[in-house]
Amino acid sequence: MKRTAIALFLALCAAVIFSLHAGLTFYTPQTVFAALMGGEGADALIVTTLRLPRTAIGVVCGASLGLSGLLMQSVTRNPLAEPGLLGVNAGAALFVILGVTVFGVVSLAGIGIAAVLGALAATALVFSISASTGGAGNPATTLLAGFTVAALLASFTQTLLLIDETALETLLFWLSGSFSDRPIGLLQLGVPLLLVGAFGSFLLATPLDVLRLDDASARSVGVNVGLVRLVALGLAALLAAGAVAMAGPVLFLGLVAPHLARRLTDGALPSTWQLIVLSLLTGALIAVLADILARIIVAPGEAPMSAVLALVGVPMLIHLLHRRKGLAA
Amino acid sequence: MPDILASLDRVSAAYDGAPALNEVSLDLPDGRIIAFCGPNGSGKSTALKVMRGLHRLDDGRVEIAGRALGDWTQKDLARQVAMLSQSPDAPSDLSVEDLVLMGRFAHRSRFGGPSADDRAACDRALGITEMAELKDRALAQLSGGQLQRAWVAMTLAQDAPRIFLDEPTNHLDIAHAFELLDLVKRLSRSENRSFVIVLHDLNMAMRYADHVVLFERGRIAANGPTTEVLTQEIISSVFGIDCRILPLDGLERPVIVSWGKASNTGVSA
Amino acid sequence: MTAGVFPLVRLLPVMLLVFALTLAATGIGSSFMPPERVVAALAGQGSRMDEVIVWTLRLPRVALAILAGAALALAGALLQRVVRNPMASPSVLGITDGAAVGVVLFLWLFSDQANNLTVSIHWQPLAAIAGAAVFGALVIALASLDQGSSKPLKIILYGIALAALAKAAVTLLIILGPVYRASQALTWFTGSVGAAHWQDVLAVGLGLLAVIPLLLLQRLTIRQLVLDPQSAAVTGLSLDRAQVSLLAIAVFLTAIATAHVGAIGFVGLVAPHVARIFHGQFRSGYLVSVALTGSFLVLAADTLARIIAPPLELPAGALTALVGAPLFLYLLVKGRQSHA
Repeated sequence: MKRTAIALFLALCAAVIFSLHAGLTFYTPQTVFAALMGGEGADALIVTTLRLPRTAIGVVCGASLGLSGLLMQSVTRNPLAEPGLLGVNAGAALFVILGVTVFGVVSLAGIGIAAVLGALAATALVFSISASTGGAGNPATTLLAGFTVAALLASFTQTLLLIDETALETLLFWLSGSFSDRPIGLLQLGVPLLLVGAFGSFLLATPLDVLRLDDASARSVGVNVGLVRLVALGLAALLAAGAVAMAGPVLFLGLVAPHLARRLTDGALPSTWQLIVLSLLTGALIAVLADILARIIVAPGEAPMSAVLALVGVPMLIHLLHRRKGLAA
Repeated sequence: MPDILASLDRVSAAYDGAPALNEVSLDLPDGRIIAFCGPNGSGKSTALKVMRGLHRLDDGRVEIAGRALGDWTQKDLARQVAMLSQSPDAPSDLSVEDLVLMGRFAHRSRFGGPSADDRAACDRALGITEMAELKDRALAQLSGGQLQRAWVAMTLAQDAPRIFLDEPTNHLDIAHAFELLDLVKRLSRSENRSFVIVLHDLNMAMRYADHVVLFERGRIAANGPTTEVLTQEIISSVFGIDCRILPLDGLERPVIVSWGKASNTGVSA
Repeated sequence: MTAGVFPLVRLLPVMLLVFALTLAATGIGSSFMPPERVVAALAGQGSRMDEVIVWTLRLPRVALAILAGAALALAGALLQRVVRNPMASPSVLGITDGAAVGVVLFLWLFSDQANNLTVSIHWQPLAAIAGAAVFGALVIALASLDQGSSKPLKIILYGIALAALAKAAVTLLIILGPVYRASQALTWFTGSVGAAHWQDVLAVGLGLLAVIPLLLLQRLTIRQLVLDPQSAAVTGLSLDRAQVSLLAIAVFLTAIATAHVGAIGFVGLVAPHVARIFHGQFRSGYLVSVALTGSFLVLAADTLARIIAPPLELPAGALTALVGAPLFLYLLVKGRQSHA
């Protein structure tokens, strides 16, 4: 596991460095290095004001979503839970758009608060729906509840945008999920949320290990199942909110990252503690790679990173479904 | 061969690659109560599912009432063989009567409501299982024993001469279990219906079955008339327990008494 | 089975509601018309002006709302039976998003530099149907290739995956195109019956008409699907065939409705729930009740959308979401015992 983590970390470093070089024009290492050292000129400007922020945001956003997905999957014992599919991202997005269009929120703090509130509200809604239909243990019901809530929130968002066409223009790209053209100041929002989420997750690692058992068994060894679940979902919502505030709603990252993390550890099921570390790394790595791809595939245009993720993530999901037979067990 | 209920010819089947049946060959007589017994995971439930076409064969051939399984249409087969699966499930707001009527699926015409035959079969099934006065209840309002009887009624309403029951006594207390198996015996004797029942409890098999098939690790350990299969030697070797078979006054069949894993005690078999 | 009780009695209230709403919706608009003038115009005895307004402007819109609502609601009811889950709805299956791919692709391919369409806009429904059919066929194909035991869950998962794929494709196409196209496409996504013509009504009507005999033939099959797969199979149901054929009908109904009115959401989810509570899902006439409820919901949403903030017309789909979703949540909590 230690070796896997180190390898992932090195891969992430390599991806980050490559991300600074790649784009419409590829720079030489000298140019990038000079730019980072405080160089002048158009190239340096592009590296420091465009590529550096989007790479940093990509790392933080990817790590947040990877961890958020892991928390949701552990707590619900549903291998397909993730903030995107369960409508949490859509909730954060709706509240941000509401804040911007209706209440005229412009400050970073305001956007952050709106995203957190939206994510928490959507999480609460989805999980109370699936619990009230007796579907807590049924992955299909949770997924359907999430999908329904996501669709509902998205249609609210669309209605808001229809009424306010100027907002449409500025927010459409944000809504599609992307790391580009984001102010680097957003990191002031995303980094603290990621730190809170990661710290909280490490504290919860042991009870989450126990939660792999059924609820009754977990309770009998002394875990407060309800509380752990509530706190973990809250953390997952915070992490998703940070990611959404930075990059807009991004699907699939929260699904793919933990699965990749599990896949990378061979043999016995790794502990939650290990999975947390690995999911943070895989999430960040996938995000940076998808972002690089988004710059390149429709050049000179720029594809939304989340669309790239879906184009890669969906075939992977379908493959996963075909391979795994006992999913509903 | 009208007197053969089902015949399996070198049948193999598996769950997700893990073998459950290994080249099983078997002929089952018609018109009897047949019990499938064996330890957990020995393949008895799989054998039942394979015989009803609910589980894929990896190899081999199954015949029901003299015709290969693949040659039956779903509805024709349903008219010949009814089955109660291990954990049946229906919406809890369904009424008992509606559930029982669903057993008539293979008989009902595509148009119009249920025919007089359908009604009669349902009423009879409700009567036999003593569910007639509960027929308007929703499934949610039934006790565990009543729910099981409702499903049995649905299976009987199918009016098939052959009935498979997969661990039907699972959720029942001992009194209800006896009640159910007494019903099976009555139906077998008075209407000449055949039953194949997966049973965990060897004493139940001893008491009610005419014929026992004993499974062990995907193969057949013994197959024949009940008293010839359920002997001290065979039970001890298949289940790995010490037991003794004792006759009781006033009972037609003896009872099986066991006291532990094989040769854990000083009592020799 | 309450076959003795004539189902019409139970259907009467919702029928009356749809009828009353039809009169009201035909009367409401930029010039209000009281019901007696509406009836007169419908009967061909009104003033020339009234007849023109009713027959060419308002009635197509009302009729389209009624038919599309019925189609979407029926698709939802069928899907809920196929996957044995009351939370399923047509939008889950990626059909709606597939139709959106068709529409966006159409707008993108047939626009010139000045953002004018180079072909008639009347081809748009065809593009939507093609998109919906492709994605619907993909879901069906993936589901029928799958030999696993948990097929309902798989159908849902494949649907969600393909819906995400379609959404990504739409986003990509919109981002690459001009903003003008984006807002046009958005209007369509939210769903609106505003631009109704008699040929839309005819297309959706014929589609529904074609499905009715199929549903009548499959009546018992649709009912039998509430049993767990094994129990349903032992009563003689050919499960795979039943699932695939009903899935195909649901795809068809969704495609034809979505193509003409856009992605009006939540009707397929909510209408079966309402019908279940007010009619009962095991009574005969359940599907009729579902269809009428769907008609009522879409017609009500469209009427509200017209009068809520005139002269601005909201898309009906926004209203079905705003009204339908809270209603759905309420029903979910209220009818909890019925899905245990």
